[in-house]
Amino acid sequence: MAELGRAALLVALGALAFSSLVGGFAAWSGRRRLVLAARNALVAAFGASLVASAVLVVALASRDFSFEYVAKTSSRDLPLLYAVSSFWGGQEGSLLLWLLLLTGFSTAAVALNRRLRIELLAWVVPVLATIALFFAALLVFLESPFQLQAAPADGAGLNPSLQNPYMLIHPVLLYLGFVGMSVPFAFAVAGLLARRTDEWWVVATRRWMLAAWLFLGVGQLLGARWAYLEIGWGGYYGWDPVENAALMPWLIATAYLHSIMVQEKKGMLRVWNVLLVILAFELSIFGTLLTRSGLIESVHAFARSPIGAWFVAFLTLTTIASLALVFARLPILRTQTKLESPVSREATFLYNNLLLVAFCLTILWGVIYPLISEAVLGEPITVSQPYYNFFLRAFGLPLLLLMGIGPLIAWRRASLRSLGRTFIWPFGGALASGVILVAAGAGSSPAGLIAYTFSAFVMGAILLEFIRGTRARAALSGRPAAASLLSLISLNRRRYGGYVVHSAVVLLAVGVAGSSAYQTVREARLLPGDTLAAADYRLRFERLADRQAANHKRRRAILSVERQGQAAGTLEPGKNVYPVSERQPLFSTEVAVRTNWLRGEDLYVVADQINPDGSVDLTVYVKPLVNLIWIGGFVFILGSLIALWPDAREQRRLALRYGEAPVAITA
Amino acid sequence: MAGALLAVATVVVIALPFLRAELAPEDLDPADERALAALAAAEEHDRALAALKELEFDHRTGKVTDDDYRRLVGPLRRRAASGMLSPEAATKASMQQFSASESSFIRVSR
Amino acid sequence: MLAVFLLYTSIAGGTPQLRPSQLAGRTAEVTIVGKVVGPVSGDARRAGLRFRLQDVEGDAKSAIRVVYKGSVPDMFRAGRDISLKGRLQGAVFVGAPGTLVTKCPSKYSAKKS
Repeated sequence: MAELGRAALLVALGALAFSSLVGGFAAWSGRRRLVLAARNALVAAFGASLVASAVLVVALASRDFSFEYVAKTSSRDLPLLYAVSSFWGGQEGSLLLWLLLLTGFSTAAVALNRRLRIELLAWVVPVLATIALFFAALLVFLESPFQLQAAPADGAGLNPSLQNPYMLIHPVLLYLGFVGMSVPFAFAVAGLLARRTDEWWVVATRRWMLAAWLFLGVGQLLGARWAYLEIGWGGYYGWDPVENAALMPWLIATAYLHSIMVQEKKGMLRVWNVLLVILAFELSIFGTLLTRSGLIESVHAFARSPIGAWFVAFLTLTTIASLALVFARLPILRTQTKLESPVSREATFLYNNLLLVAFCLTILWGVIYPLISEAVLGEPITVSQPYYNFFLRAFGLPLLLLMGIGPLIAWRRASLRSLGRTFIWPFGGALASGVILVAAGAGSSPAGLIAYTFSAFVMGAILLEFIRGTRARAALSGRPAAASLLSLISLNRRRYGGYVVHSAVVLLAVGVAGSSAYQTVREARLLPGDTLAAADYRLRFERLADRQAANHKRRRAILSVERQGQAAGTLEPGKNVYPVSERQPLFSTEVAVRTNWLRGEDLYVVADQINPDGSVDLTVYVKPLVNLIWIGGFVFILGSLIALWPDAREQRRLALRYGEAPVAITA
Repeated sequence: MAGALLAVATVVVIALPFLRAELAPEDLDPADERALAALAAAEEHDRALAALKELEFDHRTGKVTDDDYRRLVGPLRRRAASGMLSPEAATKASMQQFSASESSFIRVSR
Repeated sequence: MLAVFLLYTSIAGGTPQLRPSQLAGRTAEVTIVGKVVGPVSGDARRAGLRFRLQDVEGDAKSAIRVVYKGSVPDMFRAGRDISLKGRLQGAVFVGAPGTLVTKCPSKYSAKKS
C-alpha cells in the first residue's frame, strides 16, 4: 500500500511539473489545447493527491505501524477519530494535507471560473501548479509519509492535551485559510503576467479571500478556546510566534477585503491591492514555515530539519519574483485617481488599511526580532506580551473607532454638517456609557475604558445603520419592518454582512478588554475545609477525589462555590494521569470553569499542584465578559456567511463582462 | 499495479484536449489595447452607476444632506450617462475581435 | 522605516535569549533555554522547584542550578527542553513566576504555563 502512496505522489509531482512548465509555456505562446492540457494536469494532480491521502487515511485507521508516520503519530488505544486526525499531526502528513487542499482548491477555482476567458485561466494554472509543485517535491524527495519500517508493537500516541474536538478541526481550518490565500494570489499574478489592468481577478477571487479569511479567523478562535480550556494558564492568546503566524495573514486579508471596495468604487489602490495579496500569500507560507520548523525558537532548528531552508528559499524566490513582476507592470497599473477628501469613507478605509498593515508589520518584527538580533548583536533577544499588548492597544483602539466612523460617513465626500447629524446619537451613546462605566468602577483601566466606550460608539453606529436602512427600505417598498430588514440585507449583502462582522469584532474587543483589564486573580494553598475568596465568589475546598477512566486516572479537588452568599454548585479542577509504559506518566491539567452566561463571566480555577499531604495549590481567575469572545465568534461566522452568499444577478453581470463571449472552453 | 494505472489515467487526462476534435481556434488572443480600453470604460460606467445608487441610498438614510445631494448628483448623472455609450462600444469592439480571429463556425456549449 | 522599528522594540524592550553556558556573570534579566537535568526537587508553590539546566546541545558540564516558583506546565520533567525568564543571583538562576515554558517534542508549539 505504501507503494501506491509513493506512486501517487510521483504521479502528482509529474503532473504538476507538466502543468507548471508546459502550462507556463502554453500561456506565453497562446496555445489553446496546451493550456487545456495543463489545466487537466492540475486536476489530475488533485486526483493523485486524493489517492495518496486515502492511502494514509487507511493506514492510520488500521494502525498500520509499518508506516513510520503512523507509528510516530498514533497508537492502538487512540480513538479512531483522533487516529485519523493524526494525518495532519506530523510534518509529512501536514504537507500532504497542504498539497491535497491546494490541488483541490485549484480544481475548484478552475471549475468555478470556467466561463472566464481562457486567456486569463491560462496563466492561473501554471502559477497554482508551481506552488503545488513545491509541496509535491518536498513530499517526494524529503518528507515522505510513506516510509516503511519494521512495525513496532505500538505507536508513540498522541499527547493527551491534543485529544479533544478543538484540536481535531483547528489545524484543518487554519490550513483551509492558509491554502485559500493561494488562489487570489495566483489570480493576481496571472493578471499581471497577462498584462491585464482590469478588475477581473479581484472580482473572481473576492469570495475566495473572504472564505479563507473566515476559516483563518475561526481556526484562530478555536485555537484560543482550546488554549483557554486545555493549557490552563488563564489566557487564550500568548503572542507565541506560532499564534502570530496565523494572525498576520489574517490582518492583511482584513485590510485587503476593505481596500478592494475602494478599488471597486474608485478604481484606485490597484497596486496596493496586488501587494496586499502577495503579502497575504507570503505570510501564509511563512506561517506554515513557523509552525513546522521551529525556526524562531532557535536558529539551530535548521540543523534539525532541512525543510526550513527550502521553505525560506521558496518564500524568498516567490517574493522576489512577484515584486519584480509588479514593478515591471507598474506603468500600466498606476492610476491618477486621487482621494477626493480625507473625510470620506474611502479615506477611513485607507486609514484602516494603514493601521492593519502597520500592526501586522509590528507583529512580524516581533516574531523575527530574535533572528535579526542574533545576526546583528550576536545573541537572540525575544520580545513578549508587553511589546505586543502595547501595539495591540496602539493600533487596535483607533481601528475600533474607525469601525464606527466608517459606516457613518458617505462615500466620496462628507460635509461637516451631515457628519454632525449622523454622529450625534452614537457619540452621545458612547459618552453616556463612558460615564456609567466610570461610575461602575471601570476607570481602573484607562485602556479598558476606552475600549468599552469606543465599542459603544461602534455598536451605536451599526444599529443606526440598520435602523435607517430598514426605514428607507420600508418607505420605498411599503412593506413591514421585518420584511424590509431582510430585503435590505439581501440586496446589500456585503455591506450588512460587514456590519454584522463589525459587531462581532466589537464583542471580541469588549470580551478581551473585560477579561484582561478587569480580571481578578487569587492564589492559595488549601487544605480540606479552607476557603478562598475572589471577587464575588467564595470557594471551599471540600476534599480530593480519585476516579479511574478508560486510559487515565482522574485526580480532582472538589470545591463548593458560593456567589454573593448563594450556593452556586461545585467545581472540580485537577489533573489527569496517563500511564505510559516504560516512561514517566503524562499529566494534563484539567481546568474547571463555571460560566455565568448572563454576565458573560467565567470563574476559572486551576489546580496547579495536588500535594502529597492532601493540600491543593489553586489559582483562581474571575474573568468578566470573556464569553463575549466566543459569542463574537459565532456572530463573525454569521456576518461572513451573509457577505459570502452568492448573488445570481452579480454573477451574471460579471460573466458577461469578463467571460468568453460566444465561445466556451471545451474538453 | 494500482500505481501504474493511476499514471496511465493521468497521462490520458492530460492528453484529452489533443484527442478530441477541437472546435475553437488554436491560437489564443490576448486582449488588445482596444478591448482593454473598452473594458476599462465599462468598469468606469459600472462605478458611476454604483456611485449614483449609493448616493441615493445615503441621501435617503440621511448620511448626505439635501444640499450635498443636489451638489453631487448632477456630475454623477452626467458621468453615468456619458458612460452609456461605452458598454455598447465595448461589446462591439469585443465582437469584432472575436469574429476577426475565428472561423465562421461558432458553437455555444456548456 | 527601520528607525521606527528599532524605536518600537526599545519601547517595550526584549530580553536576550541565552544558553546556560552563556550565562556566566550576566545578572540582568534574561531568558534561558536548556534541557532539564534531574533530580527535580522542591515545591514550586512553596520554597521553589529546584533542578539543573544544561545546554540543549551540550553536556552536563554546562549545567547551572535553577530555582523556580510559580506554575509548572504539565510537560515539565527531566530531559525536556524548557525556556525560563529570570536572573542569575549568585550561583543560582532564579526564574520569574509564570515564565516556565516547555518545548513540545511534537510539531506543535511550546506549551505555556
